[in-house]
Amino acid sequence: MGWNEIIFGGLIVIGLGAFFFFGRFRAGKAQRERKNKIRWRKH
Amino acid sequence: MSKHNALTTFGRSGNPMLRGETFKPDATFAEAESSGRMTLAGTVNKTGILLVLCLVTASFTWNIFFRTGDPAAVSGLLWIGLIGGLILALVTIFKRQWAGVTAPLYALAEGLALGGISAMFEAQYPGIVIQAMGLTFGTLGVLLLAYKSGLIKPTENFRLMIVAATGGIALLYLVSFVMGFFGSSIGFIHSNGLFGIGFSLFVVAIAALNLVLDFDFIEEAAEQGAPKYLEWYGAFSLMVTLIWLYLEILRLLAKLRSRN
Repeated sequence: MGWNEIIFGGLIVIGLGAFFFFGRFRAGKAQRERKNKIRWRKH
Repeated sequence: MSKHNALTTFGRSGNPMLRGETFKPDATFAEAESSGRMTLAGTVNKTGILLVLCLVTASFTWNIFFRTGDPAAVSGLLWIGLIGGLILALVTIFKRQWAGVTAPLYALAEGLALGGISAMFEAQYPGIVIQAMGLTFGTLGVLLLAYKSGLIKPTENFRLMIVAATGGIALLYLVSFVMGFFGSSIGFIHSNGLFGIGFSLFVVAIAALNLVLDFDFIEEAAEQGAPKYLEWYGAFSLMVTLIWLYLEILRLLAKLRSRN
């Protein structure tokens, strides 16, 4: 296994890990409670 | 063109899978009482299922290519995947309630195409596929964190910008595709010169920013208690963006490698 596999394989694991872990939680207050959100339901 | 006229012209989301009507409080919201509500965890789990399905069929065509070493051996499966994927994507967009069936089928079909395409790139530029996958999932993780933390705050203007850019890119690709039938093409799209690489970088950036719109839509839909089947739909929209991003990164890396 070369550096290419270690570095980019690591990126795959970290990226997917972040998605599957943090994706389950609601966004922070700064994201949810602001006035200029996209009004998806309005359109 | 005023902002609202532009929105009407270009559609409501950068990602055509995510239209505002998708979770308007209509009859489907009433159905949600009995069938359950959409959750973030459910959407993440279903995205995982779609990724695994895509990987399974991708491995299949990948193995056929490297066993035979002949691009013709996978070209049939590749086209079945591309055309089947397109049809299934359209069905999913217009019949969202069927997403529980059509989204997994879409992932399987796209896997056939991606496996073949990736194998051909890998044969020409060894190591390129793991680089493209690493950069795709790395981008997914980083943008999710940036979104969840509030570092990136998508607004109506942000959406308008992504919609316009995505529409422009789609139009350019369509024109280039049609010109191909007449033996011509838009040169810079495929060139490995500075302009071609700059164009690819721009497309990668727009594809990546579409992920932010996907996150925002999914977050809002879950917050509003959308019906359970929209978990599949949200996962499907993420898959569409991820596949686009992966292919664009693959093209960008190939352009860079072909300069050596």
